[in-house]
Amino acid sequence: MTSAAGRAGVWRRLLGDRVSRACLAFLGVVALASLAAPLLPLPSPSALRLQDEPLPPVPPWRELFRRGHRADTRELAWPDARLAGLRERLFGDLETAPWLGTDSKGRDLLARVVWGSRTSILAALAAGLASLAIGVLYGAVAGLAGARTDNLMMRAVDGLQSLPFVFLVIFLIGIVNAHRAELASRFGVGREAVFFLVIGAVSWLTMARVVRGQVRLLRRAPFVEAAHVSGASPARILFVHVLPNVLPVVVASLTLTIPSVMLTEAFLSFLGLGVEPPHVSWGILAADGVEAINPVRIAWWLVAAPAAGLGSVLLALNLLGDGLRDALDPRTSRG
Amino acid sequence: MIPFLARRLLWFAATLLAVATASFFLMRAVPGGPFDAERRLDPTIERNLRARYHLEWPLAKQYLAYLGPLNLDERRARVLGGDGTRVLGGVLAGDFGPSLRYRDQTVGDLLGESLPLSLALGALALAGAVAAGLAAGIVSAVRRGGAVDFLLRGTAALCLALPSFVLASLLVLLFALLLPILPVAGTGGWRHLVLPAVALGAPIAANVARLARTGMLETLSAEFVRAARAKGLPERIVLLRHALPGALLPVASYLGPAAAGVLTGSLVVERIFAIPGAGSHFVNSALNRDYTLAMGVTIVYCALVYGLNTAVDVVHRLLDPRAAEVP
Repeated sequence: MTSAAGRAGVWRRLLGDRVSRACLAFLGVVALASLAAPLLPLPSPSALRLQDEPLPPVPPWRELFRRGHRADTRELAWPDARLAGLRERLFGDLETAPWLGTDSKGRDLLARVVWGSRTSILAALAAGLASLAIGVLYGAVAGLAGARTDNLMMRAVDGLQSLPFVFLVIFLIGIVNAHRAELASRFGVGREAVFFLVIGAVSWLTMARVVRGQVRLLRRAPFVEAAHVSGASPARILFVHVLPNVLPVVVASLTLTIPSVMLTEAFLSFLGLGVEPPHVSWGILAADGVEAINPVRIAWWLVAAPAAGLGSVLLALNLLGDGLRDALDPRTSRG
Repeated sequence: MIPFLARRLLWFAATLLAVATASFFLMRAVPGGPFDAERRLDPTIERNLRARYHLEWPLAKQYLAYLGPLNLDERRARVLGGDGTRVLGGVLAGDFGPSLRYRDQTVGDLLGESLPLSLALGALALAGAVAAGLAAGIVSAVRRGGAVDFLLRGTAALCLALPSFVLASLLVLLFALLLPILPVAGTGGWRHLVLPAVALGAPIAANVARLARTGMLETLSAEFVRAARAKGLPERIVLLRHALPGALLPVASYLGPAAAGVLTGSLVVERIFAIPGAGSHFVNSALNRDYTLAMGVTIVYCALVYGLNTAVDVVHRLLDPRAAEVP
């Protein structure tokens, strides 16, 4: 499995599957669009045009572009600022018509959905990095260590996992929120940073458990014993011999962690406990949609747009995860 | 079974103690008290408030008073020099203290009002989800590869991808506004609980359907099912009496996480449908720094999840004695 040929086989099997290929392409487009958001000829996601009512969608075949783009009022960090400058030169004051409509404050919904995907991707990155850095290492060390250490380390994971984490996270974020001015002045961390730290900190537990189980199986394997006998250091055994062989389960576990973390991010932002304006998140958009529900005038696009964004990305991730697990384990067949 | 239950009880106590301790010290570790960030209070009022909530006590004493079970305030037990009217207090005695926000109510009062509603909604959602999921899973397995199977699995995949708060708003849009057959929000009769229960239960039903389908496919290809068919039993009996019990095991072990999922989902669903349950209390308490209420709900929900998980494990052991052999 670890050889280049084995990996090529996984890729071939994955790309041979029509559903996986489509999901991969779709997710690639979403990731590109969200990275290049400042470059795209979208209206500003935060510039307000105060009006009474949200405007319904104008389909692109009726009106493609309009003039009158106003530059973003937010401070952008450098890669985004460069991209925004490039956009200025490329498109001038051209911007897309409200293809998905606008919200009640006149902000373009398509722009907000695209910018909102960045928050989801950040959450996925935080969880993915924490899973890889903490989860894999913790699991591998527990798996290779003696029975006593292993027992202690895994009981700690058990204990943490038996807590209903969403409640603790909300509790924690509530406390952080109340004192964020103090936190910012004393430690220089914003609320967003704390939010992503918390998300990362709770998402490595499953990975640790899965990796530990696999390492436990591997540590009596002949090639590990051979490495041991030929005098390899524990670190070398861990990084050179064991870790490459747990790669399949790591990938399979990531495909389950990442969608669930994106859900958690949207969930918390929906409750007003995640990122906050001027940042955008699909959870915030969904909350706006719920607020806009009233029997007098139905602004269905405010509900449908975040639902479509979240639903399609999570569906694609789930399907891709299924395909990846099948590709990694050639014995399982679809059915 | 007895040692297993004893071990679980021990872990349970340790977990709850850890949760209560961690949340207490987290709450007190942050700079400033719970009344600091509000508009400036009159110093006398603030002193009285702090005295009422015992914020001027040393931290260790506050912790002991919070944890209980012996009551440490002025009406404490006679052995501690009080008048003995209230002997017990603190979390261990089921007393979560006064709410910091609703000043004339205790956390216990608030939970007593809101928890039954949340539990009714959760139970309805869970029962409905398991019933619907099982039915869908069985049909899907029997009609494997057919159009019905494809449709059911597609619906399940969609339900898994749509978070409950998105599903909830779509449901309101469809069944309360476009087709006004169900109420938009609020509480009242059973009709008010239909949409929230569907929104809460849909992801769980989807998972149950997947598990039941896989389990059924496995048992349907087993020898004993072929034997039952060979005996000439009617297909209904073969499916329900022979194949189904084996397929139920993975579903049974999923019930614990499912219950936790319902409790988590209730946080948003109660908010969307304006149901005054424990979940919406919890979110509000986190938003407006009502620490004692937040801790109370956290502890009660931890206990619920833990109790349900243990119950599920017991059922699992009864259904499948092999599970007991794995430590």
